[in-house]
Amino acid sequence: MTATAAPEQQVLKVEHAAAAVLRDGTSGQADVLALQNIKTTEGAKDLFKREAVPDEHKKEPNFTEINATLVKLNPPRPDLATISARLQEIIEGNPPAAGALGGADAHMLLVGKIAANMPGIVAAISKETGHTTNDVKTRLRGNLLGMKTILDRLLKDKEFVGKLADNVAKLEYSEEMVDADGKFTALEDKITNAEASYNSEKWKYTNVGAPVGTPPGAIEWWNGLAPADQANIKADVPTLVRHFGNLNVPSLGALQRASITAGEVPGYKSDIDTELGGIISGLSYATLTSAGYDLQKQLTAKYGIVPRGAAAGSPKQWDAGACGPYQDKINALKNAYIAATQVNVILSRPGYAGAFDNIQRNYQIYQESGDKLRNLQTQKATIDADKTARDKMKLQRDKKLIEYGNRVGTALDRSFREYYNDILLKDAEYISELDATKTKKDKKDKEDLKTKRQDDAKEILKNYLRLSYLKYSGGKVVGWDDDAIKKFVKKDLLSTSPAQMARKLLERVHGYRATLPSTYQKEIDAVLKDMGVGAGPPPVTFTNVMDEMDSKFMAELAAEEMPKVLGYAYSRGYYFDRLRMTKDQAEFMRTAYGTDFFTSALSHKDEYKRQLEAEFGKDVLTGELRDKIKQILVGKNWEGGFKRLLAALAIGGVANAGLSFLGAGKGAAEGIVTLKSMGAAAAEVGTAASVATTNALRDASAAVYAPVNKFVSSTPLSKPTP
Amino acid sequence: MARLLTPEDRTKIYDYLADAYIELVRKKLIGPYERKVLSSKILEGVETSMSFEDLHVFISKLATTYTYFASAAVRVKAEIEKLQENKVIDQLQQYITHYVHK
Repeated sequence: MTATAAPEQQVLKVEHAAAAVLRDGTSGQADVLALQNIKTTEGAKDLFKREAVPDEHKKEPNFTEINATLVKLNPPRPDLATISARLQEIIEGNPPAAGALGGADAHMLLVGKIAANMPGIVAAISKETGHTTNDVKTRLRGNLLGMKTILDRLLKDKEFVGKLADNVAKLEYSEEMVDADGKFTALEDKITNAEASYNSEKWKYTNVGAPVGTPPGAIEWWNGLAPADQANIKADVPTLVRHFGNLNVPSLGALQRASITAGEVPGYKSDIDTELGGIISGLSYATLTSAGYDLQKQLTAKYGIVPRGAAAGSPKQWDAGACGPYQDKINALKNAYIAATQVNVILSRPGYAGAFDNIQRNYQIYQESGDKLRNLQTQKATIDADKTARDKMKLQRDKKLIEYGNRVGTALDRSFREYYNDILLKDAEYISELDATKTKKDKKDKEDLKTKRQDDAKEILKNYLRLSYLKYSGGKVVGWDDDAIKKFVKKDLLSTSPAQMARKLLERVHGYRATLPSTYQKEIDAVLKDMGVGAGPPPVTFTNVMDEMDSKFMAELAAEEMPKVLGYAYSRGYYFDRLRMTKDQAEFMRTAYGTDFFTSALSHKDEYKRQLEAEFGKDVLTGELRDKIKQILVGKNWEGGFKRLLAALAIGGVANAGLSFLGAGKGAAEGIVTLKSMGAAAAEVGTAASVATTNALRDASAAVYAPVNKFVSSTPLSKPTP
Repeated sequence: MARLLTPEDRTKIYDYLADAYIELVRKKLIGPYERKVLSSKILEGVETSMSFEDLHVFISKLATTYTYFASAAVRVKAEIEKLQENKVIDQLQQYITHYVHK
């Protein structure tokens, strides 16, 4: 992103860069800026330190890194490269490339192989597909027939792929590995370099142990010389150096040289002669060294100076300033000549080949070889130590790499198991727990509802049954619903079983509740709601609730409540002990109710007494009549009536098909024929007393009411006149 | 005998190497894994180098291993040689005195 771009261009470039970042998941520019920042603020060394540490926060699977690392494995593991490719396909959701080993389902096959080794998974698949577990295993490991749908689902399951991605992401090229790798390669480089320099040094001195073709070292050269040559060299080298010293004198001017070869000597010598001739004409070495040659005289003659103040024509005299330098030079030349000659002699020895350089150099190298080799020993020791360290590092590095490789190889297996344990099993556990809890809960709810309904039913009858048999006007009690009571006694009692009777009573309350004063209505509605009437879809009706009541409970309920109604009936003059029954009805009574019913009913008589008393307290019957009736009803005769009924029921069969009834009533014309006509060995039933009772009551009430002891009276009782 | 590297030398070397390294990152010639290994190697190599020769050899080695480093290595070598220039004369002096006056 250039800073000098025009605004529009810059915007475009930003977008492109952003798109590239999104596409590649990397932001090269940001990286570069970050690095530069580190270099400026912390220094370059710290930059490298930071770079060498792996990024802690990155948790994505990094297949580039994985593949690069796998290549370094020693011994190599090509199978891991295949596995890595498969894992990448699974994690990234791409099917294998065409031509991949194993074809387009290669990654599925890999998963299948592992699934086949997990009994839990095999069992689950077996259940779902209906194949045997062995069959499932074979298919998972081989042709995947019928398994593909399941495996496909698995490969698309986010949890499964997620677990795999997590496991693969953990396969970081860790800091340790980076360290180990870096150290190892750096050390290896160091060793290579050190060895190279060591060798090149060493082979100068000796080529023992060097590869074939290495030229001999100084020691070999020396040892290859004949003893005579060695002696010569030993002597000659210092000499020659001395001689060369004489050649290397600055005053020789152009003729100064550091060394000379045998071949050069003649030319050199003639040069010297030429030079000598230049100083004093005709001079040469030969002349110079000939007997009787007086150099000083010659030099004076040429270069001498006439002293100042001497007469003209005086001889020249030696002058140190004028003649001295030439004398020096000539001496130097002479020495050089001698030296060169000597050098030639020495160098002409066979073996020197006329050139001393090589010999001198080699001899020098030979001389120092002992020390040098000793010094090199320390270098070698270091190299050897480094090698050991390097080998150790290599082992460690390889070990880490092998570990790494193994983790790649087992990543899928590991993550599959984790998926199975952490997710599948937990899911299954949870679901089964949920099921069990639900079933238990459902059962408990049902039980609770049943109990609740029973309790509520009891409560309804206990509190509201009596009320339902009363008549209301303007919110006040105005009388009894005699029709209902009559029907109860005459019809219902004779034709309804106890359980059904309980239901009828409840239905009575339910049906009558609208007629009751509103407070009662509300209360009853509340209890009905508690029983579940009107509860959520589909709407539960009262009939439904009644249908679901337990019949045994209903029979018990009836045993408790019915006699109360009989009580009301009795108080209204519907005397059940004077019922007329047909044979069938009698039969029914006996079957449906049996003796137990009435025995238990009898035991509740105190309750009835109380109820009756309560009724009397309600100003339904007042005055004298009330007291009289009370005396009669609450006395023994009421009990007697019950006993009669019992007795009647105990007697089997009816002798004649005619009416049978208890006690004497209006139709007393037939007289108290009932028991007799039944041919019962009836116990003493106090018939006379019952007649008397009836008569008394009839007479008593006649004074107050309109015909009251008509069983089929349909005239509602009117309110007693105060 | 080459002179030993001083800490200042090392810092300068690191700078040259870092410049080359950043260039590699900019051009995306180096992946995340290679960055780690290269950084580690550079640290190791420069720390254990005792002389300029060692350094020279180390960087040449780097250049052959990491081919993309070659162009960077050239630059680094040039810089190192500049540093070394001053020391060459000393070296030569030592060589002559040792060699000739044996």
